[in-house]
Amino acid sequence: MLCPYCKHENLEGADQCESCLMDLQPLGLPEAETALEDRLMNEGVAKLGAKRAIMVGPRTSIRDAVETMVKNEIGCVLVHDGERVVGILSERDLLLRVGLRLVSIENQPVSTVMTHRPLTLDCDAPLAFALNYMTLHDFRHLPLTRNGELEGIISLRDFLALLFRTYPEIAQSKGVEQ
Amino acid sequence: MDFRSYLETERVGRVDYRPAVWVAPAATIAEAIDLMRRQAVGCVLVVDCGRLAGIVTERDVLRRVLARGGAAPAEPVTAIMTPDPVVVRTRDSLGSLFRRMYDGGFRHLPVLDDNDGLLGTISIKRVVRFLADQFPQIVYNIPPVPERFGARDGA
Repeated sequence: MLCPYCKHENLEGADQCESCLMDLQPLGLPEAETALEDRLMNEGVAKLGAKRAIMVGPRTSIRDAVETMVKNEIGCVLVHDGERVVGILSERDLLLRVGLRLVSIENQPVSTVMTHRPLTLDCDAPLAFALNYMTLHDFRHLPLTRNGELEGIISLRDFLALLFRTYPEIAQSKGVEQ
Repeated sequence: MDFRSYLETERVGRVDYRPAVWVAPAATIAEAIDLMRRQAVGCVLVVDCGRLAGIVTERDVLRRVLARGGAAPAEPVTAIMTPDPVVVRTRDSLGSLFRRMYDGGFRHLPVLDDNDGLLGTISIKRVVRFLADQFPQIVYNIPPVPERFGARDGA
């Protein structure tokens, strides 16, 4: 594998050029064979169209966080302390960590049941990476950042949207199905 | 074969669905929630004499139980279930599964066999994981490193 920068001949599949230490990983990637693979490799995760995140403060009560989620018809809220995002609270967290205990702890701050310091992803990360990242961590929602600042939030559903943008004709209803 | 044709020809059985977690219609809301928590699942099915009667998802729990004015935990689960839910059958194409999930905004769909026998549920997590698994070379090889909020402060 020829280094495109210094022309040194490296072993096939090397991660880094032995001579100039340039990153050779992109050269080892396969060619995109389908339109979806092409998008996954070459488009940034921002292309999914991050939605505006709904925020609450860390001292917001669990009760108010629940009502915020219900009112906005969303699956999670971000917890922001005025400077940065310090947590995330999802429907899943509410079910698993709170459940019917809600009645007795509804006045406690959301910070007691949220997931602290959620992982985020930069908007420029390739779609393929975002897909791997969410699958690997079992995330349904993921906050995106641009230059370290919150940009919005994506969900697994956005990958289905990407699939249908790429192949709009898949299982198109003919008007006979329910 | 291109990917689109693949999705049109392959069947739902290709996706690794989860065996059904279910309760009878007489079960209480509290029992259903308890089951969801113990099994760490996002939905339970309500099954009446072997027939699928409804579905309760974590979103239903949030909106119909935990939200202000919600149902009492001692009420029957039928009070908060969505009756006669949209389903997929093993003979349906993957494309139609994805379409149904996407168009309906569902995160879980019950899977039935050809005789309406209940087999399990497919979640959007499984569906997206299935998509990722179709392009392992690409999805599992792409680099960059993400950061946590505040990580740049040296935390």
